[in-house]
Amino acid sequence: MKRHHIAAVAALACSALALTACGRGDDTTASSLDACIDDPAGCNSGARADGGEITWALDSSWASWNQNTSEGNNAYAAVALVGMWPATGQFNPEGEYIVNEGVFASAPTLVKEDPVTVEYTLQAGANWGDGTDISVDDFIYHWYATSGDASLCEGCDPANITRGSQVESITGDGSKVTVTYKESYHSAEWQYEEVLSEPAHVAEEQGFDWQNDPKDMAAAEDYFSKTVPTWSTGPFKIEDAKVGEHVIYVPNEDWAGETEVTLDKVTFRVIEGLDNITTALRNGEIDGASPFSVNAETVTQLQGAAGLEYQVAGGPSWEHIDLNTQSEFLSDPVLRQAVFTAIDVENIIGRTYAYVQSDIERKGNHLFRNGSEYYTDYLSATGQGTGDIELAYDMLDEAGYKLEDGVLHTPDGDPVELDFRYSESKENRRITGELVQSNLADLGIDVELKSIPDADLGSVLGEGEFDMIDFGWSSEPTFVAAASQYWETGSGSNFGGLSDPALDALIAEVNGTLDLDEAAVRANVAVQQVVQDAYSLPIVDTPVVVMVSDRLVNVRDNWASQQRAAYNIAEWGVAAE
Amino acid sequence: MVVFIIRRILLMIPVLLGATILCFVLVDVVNDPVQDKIFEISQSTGEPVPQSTIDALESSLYYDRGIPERYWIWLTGIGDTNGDIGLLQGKWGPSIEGSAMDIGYEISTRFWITLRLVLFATIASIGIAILAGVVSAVKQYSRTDYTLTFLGFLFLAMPIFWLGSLFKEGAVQLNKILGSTVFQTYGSGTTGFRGNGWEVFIDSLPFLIVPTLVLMLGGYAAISRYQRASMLEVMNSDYVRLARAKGVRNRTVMRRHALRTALIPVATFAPLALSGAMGGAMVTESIFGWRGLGVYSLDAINAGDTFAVMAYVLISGVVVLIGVLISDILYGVLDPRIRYE
Repeated sequence: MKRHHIAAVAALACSALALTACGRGDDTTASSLDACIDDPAGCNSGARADGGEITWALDSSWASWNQNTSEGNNAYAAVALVGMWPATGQFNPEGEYIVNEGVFASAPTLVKEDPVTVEYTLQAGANWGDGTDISVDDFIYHWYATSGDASLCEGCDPANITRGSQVESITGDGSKVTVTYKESYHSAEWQYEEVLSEPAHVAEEQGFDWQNDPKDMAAAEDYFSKTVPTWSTGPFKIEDAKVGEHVIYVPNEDWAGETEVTLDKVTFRVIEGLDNITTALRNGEIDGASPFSVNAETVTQLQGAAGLEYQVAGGPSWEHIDLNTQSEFLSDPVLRQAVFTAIDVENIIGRTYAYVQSDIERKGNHLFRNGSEYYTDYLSATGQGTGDIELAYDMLDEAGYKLEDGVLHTPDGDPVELDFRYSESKENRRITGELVQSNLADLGIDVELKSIPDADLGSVLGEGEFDMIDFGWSSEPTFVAAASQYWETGSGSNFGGLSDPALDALIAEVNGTLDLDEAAVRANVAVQQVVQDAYSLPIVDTPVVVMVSDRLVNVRDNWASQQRAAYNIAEWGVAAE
Repeated sequence: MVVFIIRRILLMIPVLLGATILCFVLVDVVNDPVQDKIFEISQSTGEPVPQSTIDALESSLYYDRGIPERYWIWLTGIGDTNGDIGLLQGKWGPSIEGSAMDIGYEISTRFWITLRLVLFATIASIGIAILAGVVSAVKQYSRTDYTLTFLGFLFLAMPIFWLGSLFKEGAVQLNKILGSTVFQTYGSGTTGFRGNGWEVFIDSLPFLIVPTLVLMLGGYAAISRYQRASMLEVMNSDYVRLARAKGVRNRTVMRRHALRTALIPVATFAPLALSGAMGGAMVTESIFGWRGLGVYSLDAINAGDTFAVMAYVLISGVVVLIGVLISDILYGVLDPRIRYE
């Protein structure tokens, strides 16, 4: 075989390896993470040894210990605090909601529909890890902190008030706590609402009269933002921590949950950069990580490493191209539909995300993930994302657009020119822009690619400084609030300025039922309307990677939780010999 | 001399003021961190950010004021403030990262982390550079000279990020061969380790070796060229020739006459190199995960965290100016031809 043929075969072999979505270092036997494709909630299970330590890397830092606040509400804080935070529960990788066993004895129950009244039953012995039981006061504290009401918390900056602003009253009777909502509250996701955050008794011990003084309430929130939590409602408690750098957990002996904790110590430490994480894992400095991105280089490095397992799969966010309905040209829905029709999404995926995840699928629904029981593909049938230039041109021709000298002109005779914005550090988004540019050139539209410094994405979106933009949204299993956030007229996150009264009415209907299945049906009707508006074109669930030492068991990724692989930290362990 | 030092210190004030005004305007004009924060929050919660929260954010970060007022408040703390700002009152201002991030605390702790990294690297690089420069000069145009010259140019030409990555991978492979984790690739010490200064230093050794080597090799090349040129100049000077003519032994000529004089440029360059490295170890810190001043400034610039950038500019500015001052003073002390009026 000639030398260049050998090189070609070697290159082909390397490419084939790089395209493999999961595997185990040098080993050719099946990886236990391989099973995650068929058994996402049970893969990599195994018997645990008694004892052991795990060091887990986070790919970015957090800036506060208080997830209620705007500065503390992010995915990294959620992971850093996973061992002790009093979440109501969370979704497992199969999208099933699991109630927090350390705090609640059962799932919340709807005792009355009008007004919505929800009863919570506390787990026997549920406590803050300092000898004080969780009580109704803690529910009230969380309500005040997230109310957005200055008469309850003056100067607070809660990350969201969607639930807190709707609470009418909270009462308690022993282990039962009843939350009564205002008449206007009708969320089908009432059972997933977060109802606890910080311990009210600690605020009182610190001298904050939070129940009676709104300023003291805000001061208590500030105290919790700055103070490393010594309290815990979870399987672990913090032994040592520095904000934005590390958290060291040891088992919480007072935990009321039933799952047995076997680890002696879990350390979360920040290691920024995929390359740094992979190198540290290969060097044995950490035992695993589930960073929020992945690239071909990382996959190649992991393939060559012994004693490691990894899996690449769709993560907790989804990529999409949005159009600015307030821009000079894209205010015309016909042009928007033609643009989306001319874009070839499969080609984009094949030249970007498929390099790291060979089984990746195009996303066909804005609100429901492929494979969800509520998922229906409403896009393919419309031709949007198919790259059908002929169909796109027919639409435009019918609306009076003209192609002259290879340049598309509006019915008023103006040449159509658009820009495409993307975050400069996101290679896949840059390539997406180039492919969109190429697709639309076939339609006679000149597209200018304009990168955005990473820190400026929010301001570009907020100011509407784009015609087309590629960015990501989080893709949690909840959907009721998302429809309103993305598309409702006037929503601060409706960056492209869509204003469709028919869609607003449909969104109001999504928010107007307590039945989750019915809400999903209504949400899908809203999705159909958005598709018709040609406002947002989903591409894929963004691939992410989980990489772990093969000595760990019960560690797997979870797209449905902000905590990712740490969602089941109580079950984590070192494999028994 | 005292008058000279006082005059130079007074001159630092307008230089620092000018630098801070320029940086403040540059960072403030090109960033809108509040908007970015709002986007991040909406991404995280999946729900709209309440207007009251947006207002509170703007107010707490002073983004409800114009740029001149923000600078004035940052510098003096005079005006309507939340009591957390005013350089002249010892307050660095709020960080966009959150109230738990105290800029003053971050700067002070990170200063020592960077110093720990660059001090050894700078001392080692100067030591090696002097040795290599002297050997090269003494054995001018020999095989040794060419080899040292080649190595010098090689390390000078290598981008530090590439050299860092190369050494890092080398450390991983060496660990594999040794079956240990002697070389750590990320961080400046064991996570959560606490102890006195000496214990912290001992703990940091496995983390210190590789980045120190990288910084040292990256910095040594330029200094060794200075040293070689300086040594050659001195060796060809009349007084060295005279000493040789008088029959003084070659080793004595080199040590007492030539080297002592040839060290002046490097000795005066050393404080400048150290102070420059304090502010410029950004790449090495990033590659090896040392959470020092360099990484802090990089993160602050990327996030548009104006007050954090200002703190860095001020600290690194003061360090560099002090380095320049020490360098100038050393000239006067070491070179009898220079006198400060």
